[in-house]
Amino acid sequence: MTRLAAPATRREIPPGFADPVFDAQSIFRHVLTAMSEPGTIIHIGGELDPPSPLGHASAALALTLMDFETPIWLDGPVAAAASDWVRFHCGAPLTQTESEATFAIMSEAPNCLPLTRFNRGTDEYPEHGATLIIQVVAIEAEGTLSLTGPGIDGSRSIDVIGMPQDFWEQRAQTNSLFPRGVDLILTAAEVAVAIPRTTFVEPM
Amino acid sequence: MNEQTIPASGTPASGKTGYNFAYLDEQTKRMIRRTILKAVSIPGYQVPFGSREMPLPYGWGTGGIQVTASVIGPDDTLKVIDQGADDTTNAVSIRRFFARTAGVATTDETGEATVIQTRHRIPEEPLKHGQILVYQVPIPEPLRWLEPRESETRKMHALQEYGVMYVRLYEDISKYGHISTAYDYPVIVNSRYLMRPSPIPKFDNPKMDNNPALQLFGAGREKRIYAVPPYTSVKSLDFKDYPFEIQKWEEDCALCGAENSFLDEIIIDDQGGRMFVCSDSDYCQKRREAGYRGKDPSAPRGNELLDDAAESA
Amino acid sequence: MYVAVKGGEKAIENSLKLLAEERRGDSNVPVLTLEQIKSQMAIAVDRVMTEGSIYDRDLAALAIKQAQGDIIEAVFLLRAYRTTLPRFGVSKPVDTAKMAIRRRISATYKDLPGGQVLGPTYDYTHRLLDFDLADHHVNRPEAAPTAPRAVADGMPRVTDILNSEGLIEEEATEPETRQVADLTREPLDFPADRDVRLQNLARGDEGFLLALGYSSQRGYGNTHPFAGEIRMGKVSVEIEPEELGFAIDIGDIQLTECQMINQFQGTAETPPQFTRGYGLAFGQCERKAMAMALVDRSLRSRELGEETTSPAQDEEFVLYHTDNVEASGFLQHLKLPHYVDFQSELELVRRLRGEYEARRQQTAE
Repeated sequence: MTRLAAPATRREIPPGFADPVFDAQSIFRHVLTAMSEPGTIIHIGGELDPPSPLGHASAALALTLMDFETPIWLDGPVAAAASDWVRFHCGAPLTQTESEATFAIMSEAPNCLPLTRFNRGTDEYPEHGATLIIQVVAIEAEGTLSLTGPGIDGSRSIDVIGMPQDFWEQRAQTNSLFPRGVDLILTAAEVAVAIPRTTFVEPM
Repeated sequence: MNEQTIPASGTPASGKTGYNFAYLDEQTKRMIRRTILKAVSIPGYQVPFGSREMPLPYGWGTGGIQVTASVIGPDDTLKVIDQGADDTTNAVSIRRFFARTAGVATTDETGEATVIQTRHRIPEEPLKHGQILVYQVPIPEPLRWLEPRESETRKMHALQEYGVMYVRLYEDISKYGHISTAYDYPVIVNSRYLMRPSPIPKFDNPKMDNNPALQLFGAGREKRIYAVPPYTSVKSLDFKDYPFEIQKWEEDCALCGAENSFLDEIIIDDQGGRMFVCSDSDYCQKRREAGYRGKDPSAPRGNELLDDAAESA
Repeated sequence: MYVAVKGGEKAIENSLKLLAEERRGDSNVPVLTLEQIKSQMAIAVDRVMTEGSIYDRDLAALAIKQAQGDIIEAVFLLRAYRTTLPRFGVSKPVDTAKMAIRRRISATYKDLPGGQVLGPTYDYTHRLLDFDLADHHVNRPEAAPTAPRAVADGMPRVTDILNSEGLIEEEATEPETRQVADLTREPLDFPADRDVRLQNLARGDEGFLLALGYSSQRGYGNTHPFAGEIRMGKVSVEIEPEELGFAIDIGDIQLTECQMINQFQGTAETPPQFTRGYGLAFGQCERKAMAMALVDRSLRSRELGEETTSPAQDEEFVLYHTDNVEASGFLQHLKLPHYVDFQSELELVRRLRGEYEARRQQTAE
């Protein structure tokens, strides 16, 4: 497969997957579980060594899902540390314009606000809504948030530490025009949890 | 990026070239995986994707095959059914394709499988949490036979304008006293999207509702993927005074005596003689192993016939 | 008994063996070589390359041999192979004005710079079976004489001549940076731009385009076409690798190009002028290129502000149904068992008939 020419600093870029085919498949299956069962905690990317502050799970998601067809927006800290890594391993174009991004990676949750900057798709093409990878301080099974919606048998509870106060409120507003909306994957080190636009999140 | 190639082994003297694991190249898999994730996050909405030309013909399961190929890994156990049976030719052909290109374990047993690719049926044995059911879909658009234009049906979905479908069903009632749709019966997913459940018999529709397994739908020729996450509401359209109901048979399965399974009608002579047997071959087999018997348990069921067919071919 | 569908591994294997045997035919007859197919069934090879969308005479010949001469099956084989190929880059647009001409005719001018070059064509053959060809010992036809003067290099295209007078619409120009659509990577979406439409038509089934083009000639959305020019010959393909920064020639391909010139009334804003319909195919596929040009022009009715009333002008209808690999697959899938669906219908029809009968008896009483 052709890739963009390697940047000059190639030697300094930490490696990606040891086994691109099977690592991507295995991580995708975890991500599929996460997205189809919102609030389910998955562990991915532990074997990677991404340039901080790009987290393990975020890096694993990038290697699994991003390529030349997916413009990516990185927040300042991730861009400063990991632009070359993302470009080299994913061959993905970086964009400065949030609304053009298929994926966005945020080093910490406050950097994702306001969520309305990102593409929410249209009523006719809701799939154009972006997937936001937001790094948080910690994610716990059981906690202060109650999730309901497709993929959840009854309700599921999680705790997410490091979210701005009004984050869930903003998310609800941003996704209020379903099917338009953004889908979230929250990560903390090797831990990740997905919250697609259909999930109803309520602080308990 | 290096792509792991495995020799196209499994069959003697096949091909001089190796293909990537599960046939598709990694970029294609990534594209399909992204599509699947969006499909899951918008249940019942048909996401367009860059369907590839597969070495099997369009209309023969290429959508399901692309979804399965993008999902499956070496730890999976695959079951493939067509019309509920594992031994129908196209099911055999697709199972061979994956055994050959991905080297995965295959099974006939619904309970053993992690991924089940199906055409036209949902297995009788309830699916479990963690399983993935991949449907092969010929025409994904539920409104297509009412409105042939994609540009129009897209707008109708955007506006949730499904009145025409209700009108059509109601016309059936006024004409026949029943809704005359027996398979491919339209459903509403998560109270939002009208969805075509691939042409499964409406007998299977209730199984889709709140199912613990993940249901993925692939339409290769029409280039659409859609999904129903686990524990998601899937309601068959109906009217208060004409509630949805499934078909019933007066007979039980002649082989295993099952009363509640979908039955195939088999013509046994040219005098109008017929018998009914389970369409789900694994379910029927399991029941017979457990000692259940129908009124004609010694009747041939396909495997026996198959050997004759093989000899005469 | 309905046994054939309950096949199985063994039945499939045996069927494949039988097929291989049939394909080979009488073993006393020498095996057909790819060289023979390439050189003696060249137009079949060209069609398979065009609709298979890959320029490779060897692979196309192999596909034709493997498919026992079934052209659509051969196209399918080639397409399925094509999917697995990595793409190294996108070529520069080929310049057909620089074509090394083998054939070039115009129906709009008696003579023109470069002249009319008839080349090899069936046009003026009398369709009488040539029984000499049945005798495989006659293998060397009389040599065709060489033209008294060399065919000119770089013949101007008829549309360029009209363009210099402003009588034909300007060719729409696109910025170099614009990504050309690729239907093999992105699904169709509507309204479709002309690049998508042309790619779709180029891959489309010759028979279907022929019928559509023909229907437009018979009044279903008439576009008043003139065959402005048809040219066939070799052009060079160039790519410009990013790291080099200049184009390099990677080889020649043979193409057939057709430029239809169509009348257009003009509007309040634009004076009357001719419009264009464009067809392009690999190798020698003249009928295909002409049909494509007619359908291309018909599909432009929306952008030209014409009423769209006929099948050939209906973008969704045309573009969704050109692909013979899709069409053939879906048509033939009817061979797969549908007994679950059929059983459902059977149950329903029996019930409805029972109810009908009951109602009838009730009324009789």
